Amino acid sequence: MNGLVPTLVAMLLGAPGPDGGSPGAARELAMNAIASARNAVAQAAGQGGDGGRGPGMDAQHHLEQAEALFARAQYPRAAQEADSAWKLLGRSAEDSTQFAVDVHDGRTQVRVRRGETVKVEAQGHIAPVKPGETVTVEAGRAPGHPVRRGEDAALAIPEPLKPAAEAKLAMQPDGSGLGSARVSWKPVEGALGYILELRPGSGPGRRAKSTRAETTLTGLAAGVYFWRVQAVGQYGSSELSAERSFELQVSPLKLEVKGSGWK
Amino acid sequence: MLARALLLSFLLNACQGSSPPSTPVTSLPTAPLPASRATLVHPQGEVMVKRAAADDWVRGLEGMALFEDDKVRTSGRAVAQVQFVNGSTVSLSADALVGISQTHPRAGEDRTDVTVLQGHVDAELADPARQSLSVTTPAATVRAGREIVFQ
Repeated sequence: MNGLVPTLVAMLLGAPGPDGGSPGAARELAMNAIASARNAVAQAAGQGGDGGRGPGMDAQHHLEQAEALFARAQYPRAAQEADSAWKLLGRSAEDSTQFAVDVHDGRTQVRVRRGETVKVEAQGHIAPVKPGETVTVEAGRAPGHPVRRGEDAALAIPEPLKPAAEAKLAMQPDGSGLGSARVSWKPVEGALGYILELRPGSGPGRRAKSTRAETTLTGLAAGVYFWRVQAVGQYGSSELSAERSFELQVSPLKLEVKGSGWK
Repeated sequence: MLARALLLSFLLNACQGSSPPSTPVTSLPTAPLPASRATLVHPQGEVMVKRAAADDWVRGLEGMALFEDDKVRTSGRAVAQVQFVNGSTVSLSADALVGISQTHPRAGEDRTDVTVLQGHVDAELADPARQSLSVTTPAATVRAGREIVFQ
């Protein structure tokens, strides 16, 4: 478990973990899948395609869907759509081996699509990568652990628990006049942490990170707040939960008048 | 007059030596042309090629032969495919830069080497039982197909 802690910390900070795993990994995988799909669609168009009908048009549609999902940060679904586009245009020999290589900012990512196991070597270490798996190699480091993209998509979406939808919470202001609220959700199997998004009815929102299925939000002014949460796993993150709202209301001041012996 | 003719005849014979008279004087020995390693196919958009011995990039054209140490670059939304003589293909996405690597295959080896310096490529090895495809990047080397023994 101790080994997971730095990974989780790195992931929650948005940096690559020891195995190259991070919330950004799902995004990177989706980017690569979309790049391959664009490649296939462009090549099909360059070879004459199908006159704007059939698989070429369907593939283009899947690609556009993938790009739209990517823009909405729905990376696992974006990758699936991109793969659908790519598969529609696959006219290769049954026994061929296909893989994608992506070089960006000194980092290399290899994804084996089909065929035989591919070997990725770096710094004297060899990582066998099977079809369906992806490996990331940071510059000057040994290959990371090959991952299967389905592992990212397997993370369930957290279900918000408290406060109840549209709950009105009595605020106990602190010294500065601001209050706090405790929010919780159902734990997700395989999640190493959670990211909570909170936005007020007006004004900028903020994000909070937690390693538990709950967190306490402090420094809140009275008003309506909307929140949603996503789980973070070793190789990626879930989609965001449905949005919920609660309202912080200033509780009436209690005046306690104590009796005194003065007469 | 006769002496001058004899002298001219002597000089001509001396110059030709024992070569047969039919040998053209201009047939100087030339270096064999390097074998093409791959072909550029389906270039779309701004696809540029830089020859190993050249300083400038030239526009990549359909069917252009690619040799060792040549480089291919795609810009913007350009795409292109490099088709190797053994049937392997490497498809370049936009903003990619690849090099045709030097290969010294031993007898019986059918191997393709390509270097990806930047960007995204999709590689396909048509017959992995008999061929090898080696893709080198700044961080790693990817090997597919028949086992390669590096020496």
